[in-house]
Amino acid sequence: MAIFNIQKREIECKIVYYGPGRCGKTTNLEYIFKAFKKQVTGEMVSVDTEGDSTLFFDFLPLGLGKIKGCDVRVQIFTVPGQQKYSSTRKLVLKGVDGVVFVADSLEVRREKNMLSLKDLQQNLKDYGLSISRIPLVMQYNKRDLASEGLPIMSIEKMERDLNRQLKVPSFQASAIKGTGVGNTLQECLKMTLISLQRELKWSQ
Amino acid sequence: MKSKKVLEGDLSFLNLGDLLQLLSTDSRTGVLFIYNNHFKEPGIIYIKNGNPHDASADKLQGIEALYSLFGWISGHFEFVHEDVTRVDCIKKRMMAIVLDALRVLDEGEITKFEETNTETIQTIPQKEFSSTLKGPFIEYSYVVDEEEYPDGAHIVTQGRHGNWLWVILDGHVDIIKQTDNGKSMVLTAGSGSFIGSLSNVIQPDKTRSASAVAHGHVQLGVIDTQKIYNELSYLDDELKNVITSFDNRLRKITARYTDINAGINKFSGLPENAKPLINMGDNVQNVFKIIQGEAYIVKRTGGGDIFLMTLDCGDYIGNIHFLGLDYEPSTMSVYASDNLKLEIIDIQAINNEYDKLSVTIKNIIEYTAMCITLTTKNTCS
Repeated sequence: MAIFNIQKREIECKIVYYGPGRCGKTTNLEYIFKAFKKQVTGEMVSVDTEGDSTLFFDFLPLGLGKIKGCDVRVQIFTVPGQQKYSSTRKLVLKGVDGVVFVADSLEVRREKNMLSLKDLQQNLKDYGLSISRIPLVMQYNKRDLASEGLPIMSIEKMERDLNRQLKVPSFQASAIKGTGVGNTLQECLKMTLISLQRELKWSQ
Repeated sequence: MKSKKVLEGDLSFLNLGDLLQLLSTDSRTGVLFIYNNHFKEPGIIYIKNGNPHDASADKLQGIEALYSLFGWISGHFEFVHEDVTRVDCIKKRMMAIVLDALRVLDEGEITKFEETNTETIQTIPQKEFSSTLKGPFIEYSYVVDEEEYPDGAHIVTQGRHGNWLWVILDGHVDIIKQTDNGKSMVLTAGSGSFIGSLSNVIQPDKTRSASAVAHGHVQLGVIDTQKIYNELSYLDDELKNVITSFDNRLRKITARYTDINAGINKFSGLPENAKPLINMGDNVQNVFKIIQGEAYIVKRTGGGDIFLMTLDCGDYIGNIHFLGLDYEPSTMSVYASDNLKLEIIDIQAINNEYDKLSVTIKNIIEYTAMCITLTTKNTCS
């Protein structure tokens, strides 16, 4: 549910980074904030929530065109994973237009990924949204850890665990190095805008 | 600029976080008043071009006041459109304030003041489910599809073939059993409960032992039976037998419950020549497999012995911990037929095998144990 700001002729939509604690959501956002500095309007808001910080900033997707003559402004958020932050989660997920699910490639986080995805499904459902319908992109993060000798899961295994039913676009990434971060965001933006455009046509 | 009330409403409908975001998106200027009957004076937030400049609440001022207002979770608000000349003593951006205030609220550092309602609220009576079961956590990766059923729809019909498994995502499902002696509703299953059994997957020729009927609108997740089947097919036969035998206990107790409900005497059924084998409370550590003959499970109560079920060749006697069922020897007694022959089984090997199972299968087993326990309780009462 994007917000139309008629005064500013702007459409404001919301992309949320979701995933288990310490999977690299924050690192993704920090990288975007640094690497796409020109497209970021205003500063990054960082709130220290237990386990992960919750981040927020405004982003102007360049080169993706206008919708109905309006500029598009994207609010990018991460969600605090801890159960107790229900008010924050509610605020962040309310009216979400697109989701990036960041999964941790570490073998030991396998179950955490699945639980978090299930959690996402439930949270979206609470807002009448369906995980199979919302623009969603998967990111398999921390691929670089293989070179450090840490056991990570194969892409096939992660696809099977997380993406077999959803069949959404997925990207390998190493957020700490910035690899794959831009692609993930770009794809999610593209899907979100296409879905918004489609919604607008339907409502005509 | 003339003062004018331009927006008012109920905080339980539009909370302060949403309200501030709305005023911020539209870069509004004015004063927001918040009324809560715990406080004499309203809370006040001064907003200029969408950003808060100052606030007051009870005895607090500035940012502290603003944060504490997030705890006024119900009440009335009014936004008055007017010039704000206050010194900007709150430097943070709106979204930073909202996110941080909600964090502090969630961490329990802001006191919540909910308005005590003076009007009587008419509560809608919820249907009382006497035996509602809620299942364990649903593992989403095993759900391949979602299905919806309207009220009264048959999801599973007793006596038919089928090996599909579902998990209830939302709503309630009545489990109904028909025996020669009558028909009864065994229990109502709530979200997280499974419909269908593992023995239907292990032995596809088995028919459904009860019917499952949607109670109101129901949303079900279809479990990946193939995945479950594959997992089970790698299992040691002994564990497979344990699971099937365990499922049979549920079938048997459900049938017994239905019979008793239909008027059969609960103290009847135990053959006269049966001899006590295990007494309730006996210290029996071993688990036995029946090679020949029959064993009977009985619940001793003050009113007499309630006969629960007959176990026969291939069934197990004793406490298998991972099944999570508190039956013999701690709370049930076992009687034996004359020709009963038993064999001690290596429970450690089965335990090791069980540990390798996926969470979903473990959940289904756990859920079966819950069903047996609940139905047994209903049978005995």
